[in-house]
Amino acid sequence: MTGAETTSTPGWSAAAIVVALLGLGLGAWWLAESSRQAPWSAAERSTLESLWLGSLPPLPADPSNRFADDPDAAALGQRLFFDPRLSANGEVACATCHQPAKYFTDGLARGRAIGISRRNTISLVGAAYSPWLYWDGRKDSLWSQALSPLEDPQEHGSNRVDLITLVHADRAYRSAYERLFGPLQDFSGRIRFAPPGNAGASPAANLSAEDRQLVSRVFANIGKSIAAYERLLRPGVSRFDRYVEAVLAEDQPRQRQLFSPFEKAGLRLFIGKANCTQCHNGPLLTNNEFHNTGVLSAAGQVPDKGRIDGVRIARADPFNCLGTYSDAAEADCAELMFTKTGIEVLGALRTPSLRNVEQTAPYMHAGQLTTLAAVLAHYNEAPPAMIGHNEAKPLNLSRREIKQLRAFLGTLNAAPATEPRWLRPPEPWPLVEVPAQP
Amino acid sequence: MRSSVTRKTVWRACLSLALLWPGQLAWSHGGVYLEEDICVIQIGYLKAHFTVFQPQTRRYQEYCEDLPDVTESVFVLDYAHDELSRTPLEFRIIRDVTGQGRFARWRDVAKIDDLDAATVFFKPANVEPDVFMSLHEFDTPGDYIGIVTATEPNSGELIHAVFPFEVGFAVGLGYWPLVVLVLILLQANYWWLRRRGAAGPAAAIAVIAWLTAAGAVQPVRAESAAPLPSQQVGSLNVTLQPEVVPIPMNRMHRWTVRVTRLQGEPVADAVITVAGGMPSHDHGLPTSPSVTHYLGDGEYLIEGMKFHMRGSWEVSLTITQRGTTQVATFQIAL
Repeated sequence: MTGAETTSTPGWSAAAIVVALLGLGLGAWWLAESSRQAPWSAAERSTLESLWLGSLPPLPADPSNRFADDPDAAALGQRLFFDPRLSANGEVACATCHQPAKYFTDGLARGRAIGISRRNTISLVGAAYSPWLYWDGRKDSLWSQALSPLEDPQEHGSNRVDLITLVHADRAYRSAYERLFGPLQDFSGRIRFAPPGNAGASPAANLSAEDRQLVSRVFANIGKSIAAYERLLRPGVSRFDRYVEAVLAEDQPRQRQLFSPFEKAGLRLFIGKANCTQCHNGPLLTNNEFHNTGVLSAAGQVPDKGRIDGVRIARADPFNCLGTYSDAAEADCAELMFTKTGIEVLGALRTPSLRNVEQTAPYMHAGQLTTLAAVLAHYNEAPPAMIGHNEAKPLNLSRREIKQLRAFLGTLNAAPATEPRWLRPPEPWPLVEVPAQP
Repeated sequence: MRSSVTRKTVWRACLSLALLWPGQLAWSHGGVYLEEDICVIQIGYLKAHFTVFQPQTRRYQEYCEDLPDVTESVFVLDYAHDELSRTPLEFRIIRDVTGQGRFARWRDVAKIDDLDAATVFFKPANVEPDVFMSLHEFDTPGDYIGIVTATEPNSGELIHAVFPFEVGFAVGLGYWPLVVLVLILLQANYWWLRRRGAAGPAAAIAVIAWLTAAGAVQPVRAESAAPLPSQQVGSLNVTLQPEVVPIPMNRMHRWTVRVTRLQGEPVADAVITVAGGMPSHDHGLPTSPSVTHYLGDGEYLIEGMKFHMRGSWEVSLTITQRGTTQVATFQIAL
């Protein structure tokens, strides 16, 4: 009995070890196989290249703003951008909602200034590349967009006459303005009888038509200065861009170093099965066009009509590309002249850039969705829209695939590629410029 | 109590029948009815697709009349007749003080002495292009009457559509018992299969099937645009040419179209309109391009072209010349 035991034990344990090793080997093989992914095909590489920041063309000129690339205008614009005096209560600056530390958004569902805005604050990084501004594209240039919040009662709540009075009264502003745009007229005497602190253009109501136009001209110049500043806010190189560089160089080790298999799988879904690049295409990961994707209306709001209203407003806007205050020739206004409208754009809103998307929650036009997981679940479901027609189709992605996409979206973060001095409130004006008061 | 519930159920059953019946008979003065599964509101001879949402509690669920929850409700009128987009529409919701319940009509509403006292929501007459929307947050369950009033554009006559509805009928446990039952059944099925020893192979087959599905190959997109071949439509030869090659994405650019007769003689007097889109996505071009100049030698300039996604596009040119109209459609793979 003892003999049998001693002879049989090594045989059994050897068999057990072989089986265990075989099991482990098979397991390891299966794991390796399941995480192994096909290399990028030529077509996929070309798609990746089209999304790469290196494919971003130089910033297009803005013919409607002669001062768009003037450094002095940008310097003045930066001051205006960070100045809370440009508001009815002296507390709201552009930077209140467009905070540099938060990629020029505010982290809120809807902008909060004097009141609460109707929609979510969009990042300004790379905004100069878009032919249309706002979620509904009701503005066709950065400078014209910059004017709206100043007179919106829920936002800055100021008005163009008060703003001009400020620029005229602040000696430093006035000299910077006059160096760029020529002599600034004093309107304070002529608007003496205007109701003070009124929002909108109402204080200008008792001016002559000619004076009203002069006031609006100065107002437009304020917008053009702010736009010159905003044009400096460019997107930076993200981990995704470095990964694409490695893909284009066919550098496998560097690819593995930059992207986990999970993120790579997410990217493959992003440019393939999940249809993301239908709208989130190009190096800014947006086509800057308008799409109805059936997002549920926000609490307390009727569904957003979006672009169909945006087109009406843009066409009627005195500060549009074809208007008196624009510096563009008619031929430079193709976007405005060939705009499409109609029931197809009912409920359609502008595709936002996905750069820094992980850092710019909440999402959608009124911040209805708080996490990227919720956004991906929404596109996976593609429910029928409350108004108009949802262009997206259900994706039937698995939970794992949604997590892979989510992981990929975390690779798009990058600080703006802008000199740090532009990303903070400017230094006070040099005191020497201000003559001593009697 | 019990009998009132039963009576209500009977009423509701009758009502659903009435709703399924050809609607116009039941609501000769205007109201809400179902037409081939679509909820329709009839305002005089004008129709709109009628939907109510309770987005905060019921997400995308569409309601035709009765609303389950006492909460924020969004009423949407999607016009079937374009005329409604030019017609002033007024919307009022009142508590049902007519005593007519489901059978309330405009004549019952008109008898109410103080309409404003019964009103819980009022949106004054206004022309709403595109779509009509109203939001009201209900705070009390009960019977209500919705009244849409349109001003007839020609006569100025007021036309009323009246639809009685109930708010807050959601009682009971909802779908949960059903879910629990299904889970119990599934679990019982699993146990039963395991006893019979069939679960092992079945599970293995399921795993294999799943792995095969997970490993399915991704579709590959076509590379870039091939040159567009000329097209012969009727007695014309049409050549469409982008000004920029390869065709740019997300950027306004121009195209030219050259129209000649089959013998090669250029056509100078054609009137050309441009349309297009992605048939597989049910959407058109992102812009409204048009022919802006005649360049000579049968060539016309198309301005305002733009493509905003990759995929299969169609661009069609409607060419009218000497009283005849021809359409040339070009397929473009981007």
